[in-house]
Amino acid sequence: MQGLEVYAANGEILIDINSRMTRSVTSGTTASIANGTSVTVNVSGMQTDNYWQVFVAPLTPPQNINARFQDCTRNSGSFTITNNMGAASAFDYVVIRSG
Amino acid sequence: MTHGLQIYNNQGETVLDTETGESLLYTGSSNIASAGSDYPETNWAGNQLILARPRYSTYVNKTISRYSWGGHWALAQTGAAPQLVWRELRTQSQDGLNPTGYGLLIYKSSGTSSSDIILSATDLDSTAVLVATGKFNGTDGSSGNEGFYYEFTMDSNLDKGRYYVLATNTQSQYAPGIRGSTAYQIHINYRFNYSAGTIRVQNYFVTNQDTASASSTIESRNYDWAIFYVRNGGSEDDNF
Repeated sequence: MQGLEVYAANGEILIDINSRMTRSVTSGTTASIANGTSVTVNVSGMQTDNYWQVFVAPLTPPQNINARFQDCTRNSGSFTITNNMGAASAFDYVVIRSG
Repeated sequence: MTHGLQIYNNQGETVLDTETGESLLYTGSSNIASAGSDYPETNWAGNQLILARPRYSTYVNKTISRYSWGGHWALAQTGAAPQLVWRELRTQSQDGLNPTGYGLLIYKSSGTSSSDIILSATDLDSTAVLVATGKFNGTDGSSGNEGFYYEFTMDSNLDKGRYYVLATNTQSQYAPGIRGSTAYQIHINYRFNYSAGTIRVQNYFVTNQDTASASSTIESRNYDWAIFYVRNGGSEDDNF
């Protein structure tokens, strides 16, 4: 077998050759954007496959119970956040990678 | 690659790569949150990803989500677990680590400060292995009370208490339907069923949920969900 194995001091395995580990690519906060608008963040090398993930949360979550929150679409080299919350907000984002 | 180190798993997926310099994600300590409190209330750095699961295996069909009301994040929401266990998914290079003693230590090419750490094995108390990921756009389910979802099945040979979901970008809302208005809920979240060994990744809008006239529509999103398996998380994860 080839690959990396890491054990804790108690002998429990932390990383083995089967493990799909994740790494941090970048994180940050967008400028505030109005309801119905989008913001695109460039990320070098980003792909649309499932080896990349983007997790987004608004800084000021909606006051309005009819809001549809936000969406986020990964593109080649960037991702786009769309604000559907009914109110302006900035968004925290974290990009991770597993492949 | 002319120099450096790349390690892959047996599926050919990158575990670490000094050329890209991306630091390993690992898990922080467990915390308990209760319904009704701000979520997470304490011990959250505010910029770290949140992993969570229902606290006890006796909870039946409980959701994990972040509920927004009045401009605040909270755990409380119809169908939520009364208590949950949450952890941060942290980046080693952002933790100011000062590795000492034995173990593998790898920096990216720019230097040897704590912010250059790609992997510090000696600081790995617990890890999180990605076991499933996708988008909140499942089409399983129905237009009735159960709504729409993608269903993930836990490995029956593993400890169910170690499965966590990425809760940061979940979305839930609940309108009770007072004064003649129609009750509704939005579920962009996860529902645990420990008896069946499943986690439903939900994406639906429902009116009159839990009644005979419940009606659901798909509430599809392009953004990502993720399920992790935490290793060496301690006794809190081993109570199932």
